[in-house]
Amino acid sequence: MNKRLFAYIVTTAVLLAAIWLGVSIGTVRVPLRVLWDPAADETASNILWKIRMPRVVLAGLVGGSLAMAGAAFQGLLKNPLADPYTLGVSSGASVGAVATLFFGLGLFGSYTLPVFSMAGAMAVLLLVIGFSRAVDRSLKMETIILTGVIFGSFLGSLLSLMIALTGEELRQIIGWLLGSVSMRGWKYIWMVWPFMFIGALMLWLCRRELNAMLFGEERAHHLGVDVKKRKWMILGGGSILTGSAVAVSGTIGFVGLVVPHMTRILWGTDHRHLLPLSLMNGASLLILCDLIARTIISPTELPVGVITSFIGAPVFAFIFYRQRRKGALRHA
Amino acid sequence: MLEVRELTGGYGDSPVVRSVSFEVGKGEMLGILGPNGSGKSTLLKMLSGLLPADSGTVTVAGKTVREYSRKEFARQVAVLPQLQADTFSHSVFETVALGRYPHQSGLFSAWSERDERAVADAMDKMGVTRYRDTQIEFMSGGERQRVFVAQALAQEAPVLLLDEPTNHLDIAHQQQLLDTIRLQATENGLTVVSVFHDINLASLYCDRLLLLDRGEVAAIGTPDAVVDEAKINAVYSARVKAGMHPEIPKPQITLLPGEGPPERKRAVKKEDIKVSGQFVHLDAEVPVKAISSAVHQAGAGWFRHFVNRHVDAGYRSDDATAEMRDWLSGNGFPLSQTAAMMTAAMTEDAVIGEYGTPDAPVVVCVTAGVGNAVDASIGAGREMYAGTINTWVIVNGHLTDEALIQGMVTATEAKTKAMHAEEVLDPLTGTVATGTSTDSLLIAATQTGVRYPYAGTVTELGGAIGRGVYECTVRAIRKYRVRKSAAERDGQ
Amino acid sequence: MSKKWIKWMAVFLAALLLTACGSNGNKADEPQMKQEEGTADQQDGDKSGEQATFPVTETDAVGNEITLEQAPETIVSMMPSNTEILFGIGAGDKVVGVNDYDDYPEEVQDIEKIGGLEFNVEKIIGLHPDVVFAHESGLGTGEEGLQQLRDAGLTVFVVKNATNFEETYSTINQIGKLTGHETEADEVVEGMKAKVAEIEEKAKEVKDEKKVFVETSPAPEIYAPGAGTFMQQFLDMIHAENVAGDQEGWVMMDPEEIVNRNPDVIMVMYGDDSAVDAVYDREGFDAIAAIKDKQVVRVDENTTSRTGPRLAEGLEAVAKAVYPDIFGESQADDQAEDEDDQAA
Repeated sequence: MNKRLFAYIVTTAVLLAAIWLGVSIGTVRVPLRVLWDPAADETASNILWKIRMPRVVLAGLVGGSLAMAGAAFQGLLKNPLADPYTLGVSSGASVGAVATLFFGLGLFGSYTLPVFSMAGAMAVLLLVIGFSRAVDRSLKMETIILTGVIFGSFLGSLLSLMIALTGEELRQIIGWLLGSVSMRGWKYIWMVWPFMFIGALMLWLCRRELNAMLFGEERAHHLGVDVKKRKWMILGGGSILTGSAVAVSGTIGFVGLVVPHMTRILWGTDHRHLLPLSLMNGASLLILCDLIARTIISPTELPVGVITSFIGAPVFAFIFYRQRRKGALRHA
Repeated sequence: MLEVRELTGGYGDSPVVRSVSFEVGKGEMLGILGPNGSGKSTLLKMLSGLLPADSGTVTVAGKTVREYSRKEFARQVAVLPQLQADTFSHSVFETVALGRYPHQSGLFSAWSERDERAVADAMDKMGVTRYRDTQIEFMSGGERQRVFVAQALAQEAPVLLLDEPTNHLDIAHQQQLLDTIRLQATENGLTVVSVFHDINLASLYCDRLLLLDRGEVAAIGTPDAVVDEAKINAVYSARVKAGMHPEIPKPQITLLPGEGPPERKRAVKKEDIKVSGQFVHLDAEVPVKAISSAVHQAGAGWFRHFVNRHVDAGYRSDDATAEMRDWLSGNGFPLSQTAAMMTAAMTEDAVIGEYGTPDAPVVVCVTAGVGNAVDASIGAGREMYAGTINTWVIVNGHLTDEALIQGMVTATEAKTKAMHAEEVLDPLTGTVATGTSTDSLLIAATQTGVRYPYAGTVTELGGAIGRGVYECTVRAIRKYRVRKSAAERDGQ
Repeated sequence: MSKKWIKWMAVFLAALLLTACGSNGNKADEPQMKQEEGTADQQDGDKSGEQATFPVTETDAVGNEITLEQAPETIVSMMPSNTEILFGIGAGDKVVGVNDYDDYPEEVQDIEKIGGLEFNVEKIIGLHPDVVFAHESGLGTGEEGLQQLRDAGLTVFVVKNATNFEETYSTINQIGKLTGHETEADEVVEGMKAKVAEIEEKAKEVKDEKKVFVETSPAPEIYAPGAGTFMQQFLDMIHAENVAGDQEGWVMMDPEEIVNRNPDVIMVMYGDDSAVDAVYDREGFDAIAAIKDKQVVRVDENTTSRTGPRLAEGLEAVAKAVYPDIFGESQADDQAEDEDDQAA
């Protein structure tokens, strides 16, 4: 109980610190007085409230969503290398987004891209599950992973095709694929947070079932888990989180893979705590990565996806090394 | 508690399990046996609701499996599948606590006092309480399996289904695990159905056994009824020998390898018996089957060395068996391959003779001293001395168990006859003695060559044994008397 | 509308190509052979029409001395700027192959397309051009392809990537010489010089230099041209300040910094009229002078980025967009409408 409380205190403190840094540091020095006195400096207040604040919030939402979805997918698939993109949901979201840019679609104004992206994500989820069911009625995880890989690579080639054929939108598409939380504003946040909330809730409701499923679907079944229903819920919840995150920010890599691992090593495998702690850590990490992305060569900005991978890859290598070492020592 | 009616099902079109019916009562332990692919695990999966049945019903506590929700069913039936590797690790407590899943409901599903107690109880029963915070990935297979049993016990379900629970465990862990489960059945009325790979373990621990053959019930009943040589041979297509456990009345089987026991190149002859002042020793070169009342390795068994050791008449030991073991290993005899007895008589006076056919004779060796001769009809209430008439009968032939015992009877009768003929009297009663107070007898057979189904007194073999033992005993008694009178003369 | 339709077609065709690649390759061979013979005859017949100035020798951007023995009758242009020059100097009728992105003048719609950054070597060879005008900016991805063209016996002239007006003039003159349209090229250059001089003259009237932020791609990844770009030269020439002028090349600007630098004019170089509206709608941009004063304008990117005869028009468009009171109202919106009408 003590350790658990400690975990939440530390994680919350890190998140609050990340938010504070994210809001207070930026390309433009902003007097924080405008937080409570917006009239003091209109430009500063505009920058803080309408540009910096929403991107910090969005970075938090996206990072948290990806990390929580990653934690759930790794648990469900019993695969430490699984991430929110394993099922190809992100490829669906990407195809939706890139198609919007490629064809210059504008059906829903500035909401067009996230709407199409979400639609792409959901369509792929349904296709993957539908195809898996057609292949194997018991919906084995291996089948789902394999189907995800098949759909993912097909959609990947579709993406490459659009990139190859595109002209002036190339930079936009590449920029979107690299991932960024810049200039989304509050309206994007208002649009995605209900999805993220629903996705996170669905996963949180399956926290104990995820614990049981770590011992295999068969054992989970014996423990009284309605495996099929829960699998749907977890895949659905994770995909909604992933889809909405990708829809607003592009494919930001490594957060969904590395954060659950770090959280697991620090605070244990119990999903009742792993899920919320991963959510908070993912939020912290992406807020900080975005802070780096927009300040390191200020005033020029880097895509945040570049920073997460840049930090994420070595961290992941370190964890991998540590786990291998641990394994090697155990077997020695 | 658990009732199965005409259960049929499996994977795909052709059912693996075909119209299986049985019942298990509260507190009963049923073992499911059968060769690989006979449908044991499939049957268990159908019982646990993992695999839907094509037809037939499984009823638990009066309701069929289909009438239960997943959680309700898990409150009735706990299942322990085979050991498997896990990717991520939980602590022992977290693992066992998962067993409470079916008892928790609602959005926040608070952890109750009862949950805590059930988990503590389960960990206690399986002896894993001290590992509470250990990660299970760091535990050995046996310990881990105990944790999983604790998880199943924490479910507090009245029925426990097990799939080869002792797979990959060493014998100590097998024993601990099954002892605990057996105790739960006996003391707490837990109903246990377990698939077993090992027929002997199943026979030892289960009240009843169910033998599956290609998905159908080949036999069901008590271990005595099911562990039957003919049935096991037929169902498993394996050559086995069934017999009783040496300590408890449960049948056990042993495999008969394709090659029989190593053949002796030549018959055991009287020259093979070496006599010295300390002991008489026969090295049979390869193990032979023997039944004896020896001090070391009494009873039936296969032995290569036979020793008759001389001890003083005043020999006393609190634990003669242990003392004998020490002496044997001190003299370089392999303990497991040696049957040994002791005598106060002088071993150099051993009388050795060959009887019957010269190629495959019956070899008899007797050492005798009749100082404490006893009339068996009124023999009780005397002190024990080291054995004084020790008789060995080694038969170059194949004897049935029946023949071995008959041989013992024949040899004993012949010995008694010799006592009569030599008019050895019981010094206490003055009547004719039938033997001495601590006589030993050993009958050995090479189990090669001629087959002897019987060894009663009128058979050819019985005749040889009877005559041999009689003659050798008479000569041994005479040698003893000669030595004794010489000693008395020297004493005077 | 038609642009989108073409893209859909492109995706569809690409998908078809992927499935039917093998059979297509075989069919393509035969007509090529026939064409070869045909063009050879043509060349023989046209020899009499040569101009006296040939042979012409010019050094191209990669240092190769290219000699043309006679005026080219068939030309492949691999860059929209080359195409615009060729048409501008009256050699448009000789052009037999153009870049996929060529859209000016209108006649290019009917000319064979040879690809974009990735061009179709076989197709270019099959067109049997007397000269191929490649472009220095495409060397990175296209070098191997160009070598294949040279190996196939084609004359490849790599046009310099002009970085200012002077270099643009010299490339126009160079292409004029190589195609036998020297005089027309001189006329075009003179016209451009006159227009530039006129604009520079007017620019002297500018009293308060306006701060301009130029966007080449929309939010969220807002890219802006910094120092060393053509746009920087344009803004310098019309006495306007580029707020991204402290950065090198094209950069993705932190929106906070855009707000902070508070440009008087935001120039949008992409999309259509809705792009301007989108800028006005941006959250947090309300405090920027350009938004408050409704000074978000759209300028056609092609005229300002293609180093051809229209470059002076591009400069004028930028000048009008930034200082409408001095140079007259911006024509960009009208132009855009015209284009849409034509397309429809």
